[in-house]
Amino acid sequence: MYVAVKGGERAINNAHKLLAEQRRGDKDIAEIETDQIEQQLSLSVTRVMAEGSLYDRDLAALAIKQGRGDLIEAIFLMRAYRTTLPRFAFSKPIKTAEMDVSRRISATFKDLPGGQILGPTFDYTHRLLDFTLMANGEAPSEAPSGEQPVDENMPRVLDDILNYEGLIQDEPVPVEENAPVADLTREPVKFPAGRDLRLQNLSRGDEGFVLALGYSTQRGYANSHAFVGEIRYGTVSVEIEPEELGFAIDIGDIELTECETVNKFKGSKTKLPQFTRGYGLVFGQNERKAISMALVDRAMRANEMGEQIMGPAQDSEFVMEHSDNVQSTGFVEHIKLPHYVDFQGELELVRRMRAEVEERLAKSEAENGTSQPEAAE
Amino acid sequence: MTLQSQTSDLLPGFDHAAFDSNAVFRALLDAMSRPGRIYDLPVNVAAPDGLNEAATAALLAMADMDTTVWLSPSCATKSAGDHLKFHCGCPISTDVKQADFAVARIYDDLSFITDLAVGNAEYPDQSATLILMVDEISDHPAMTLSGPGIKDTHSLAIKNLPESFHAWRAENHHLFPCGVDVIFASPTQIAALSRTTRIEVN
Amino acid sequence: MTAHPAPNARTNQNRNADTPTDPQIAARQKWMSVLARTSRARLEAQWSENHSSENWTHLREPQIGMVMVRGRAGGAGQRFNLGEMTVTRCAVTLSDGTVGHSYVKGRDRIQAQYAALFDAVMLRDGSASNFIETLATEQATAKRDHARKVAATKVDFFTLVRGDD
Repeated sequence: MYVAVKGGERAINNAHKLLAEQRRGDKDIAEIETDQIEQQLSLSVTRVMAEGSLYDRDLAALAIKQGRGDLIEAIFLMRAYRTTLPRFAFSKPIKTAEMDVSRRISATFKDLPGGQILGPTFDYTHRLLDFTLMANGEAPSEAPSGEQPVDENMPRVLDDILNYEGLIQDEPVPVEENAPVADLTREPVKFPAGRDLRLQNLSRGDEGFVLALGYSTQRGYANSHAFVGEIRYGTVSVEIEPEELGFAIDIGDIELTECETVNKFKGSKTKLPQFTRGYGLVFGQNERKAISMALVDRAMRANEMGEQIMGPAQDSEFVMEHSDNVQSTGFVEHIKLPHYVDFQGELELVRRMRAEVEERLAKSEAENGTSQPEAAE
Repeated sequence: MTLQSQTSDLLPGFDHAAFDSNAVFRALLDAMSRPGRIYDLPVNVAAPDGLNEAATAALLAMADMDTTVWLSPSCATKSAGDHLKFHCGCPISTDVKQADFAVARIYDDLSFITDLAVGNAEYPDQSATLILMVDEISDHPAMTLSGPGIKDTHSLAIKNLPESFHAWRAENHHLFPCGVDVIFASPTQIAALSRTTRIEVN
Repeated sequence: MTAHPAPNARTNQNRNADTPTDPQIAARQKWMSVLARTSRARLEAQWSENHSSENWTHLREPQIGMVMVRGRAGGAGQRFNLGEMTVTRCAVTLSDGTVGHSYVKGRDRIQAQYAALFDAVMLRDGSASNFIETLATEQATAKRDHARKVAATKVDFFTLVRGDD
């Protein structure tokens, strides 16, 4: 039960002023600009956009500044802001096959058409702190260019290569292509949830939560052994078809990371053994999230594959009800807010129960001359 | 050129999108909270062929790409369709069962109203709202209204309201918490009947 | 092993193949896409230099909203809602009645307004063709420059033989 409390207005105002002062920090240090955050903390920006479920780099940078670098607070701000905006359209499904890739690797095929493209990655760095960055280090030299640009249309490993032999399951497309697409921002989630809803939920889900669940599938809490078929990161154009125009227009590019995993499937009486797939797609550059998402997506397909449920990652309801960090934060943190009346009720109850036990003990002591405490209930 | 003519004869929407849609929203909210009370349309707005001003204003304020609009055959002109598509971006369906907002004239064949969505026990809000364009709304005691939002009783008269409307409305009232809400829209005024409103025809 | 693309590779994301073959529409799609990628400052400067004598009105004032971006499971399967992006749209009417539209990524109202104005001018008489052409070339060059930097990170892994022999 919730009971409103009143008062404390001045204290609250002052707390907010103190917060603002602490956010700013030492005034002798230059104030951070949002475009610096947007440019130089771009992976934080990416995470805030993905989990805030709103692609806008400037807003994400502002949210990070306002949230003092607390990314979940920033995500909360993004979510709140997006509720103020009207929705103009749904995009046509983006075509990751036509992505202008900045990175594209496969862990399953060494030599693949288009090549392994490392792009801007932390992989193969030595994870040694670079103190020149602290010492106002010089700007890095310009990255070298190849003679030729990367191929414009890179084949997709799973569809265009592995599927050739029928070795991997096809992605089922609903017969009715115009079937409605579930949207958890508009309709309450009901279980069992379709894959559309599961993917939407995972893409905006907390990176740490999805990562941990993905990890759990590798450690035996799911019937899963996955390879990364392909990861690609880069920009794709977004197309919409406004009602008043009646044809599709391109409204600009967004950055995405896509991951497809390949999982073994042992086959059944009627089906040949083949590989199955998991899918991850997130805003911005974030392959940790994209890989984790693909692992969990595959794990949640357990029912569809007739697999035994043996871990939390396979339980869609468990995953989807706990993946949202704004929702989780709200409920976890709300217990710090005044619960005085609730607690008074609990306090009274415990006192009464204690009094009853004490009374009984005193009575039995008087009757038997000994004290025989009963087991706690 | 086809590309130009597509939208060049469009009428403007609200003069001030934020303020005007807010004002119309407030009028609709008040009208729905005080069933039967008559509210003047708070803005001036151009109506495309097929719609009147108040119905247009209501749709501009309420319809968007998440709400499906159904227009009765007499309202479903090209200019009404273009106007709504451009300014609201709302899907326009020819299937009345899909409608979140259904728009008709009082002289239309109103038999479609029994097909309007009434919502379900879990989500009674997933029901349709009927916007009925009428010539004149007044407080003559043709109907006596009572129920939530009405202190004792309230009088309302809608010119040329057919008998069949009342029969349907009586059925609709029994579906609570499901049911269809109605907005009467004359060119300059609106009044509403919530699904909870009881009507006595005098 | 070396992977070869299937000869019949269904580049199957083209399932909802773009329909328009109307050359007028195709040309308009091209310039709208170029304008959507051009900065406000660039559009504003060009307009005041070459088109400031135009008389025009807003048919729809610049308005900020969102587009829900959709993906496909597995890149080619069932559609799903990925997340939203901010978008600004605008519509303008030139004095002869030509209507220009814009929908551009982000929240820059002025950029959207000029994108709509250039759309209208292009529809009326194509009088910004050179400007659009220049922008398109610049955008292609920038894209190619980036793709060349990316290409410099292309690697050939070779598998080391494991075991004693």
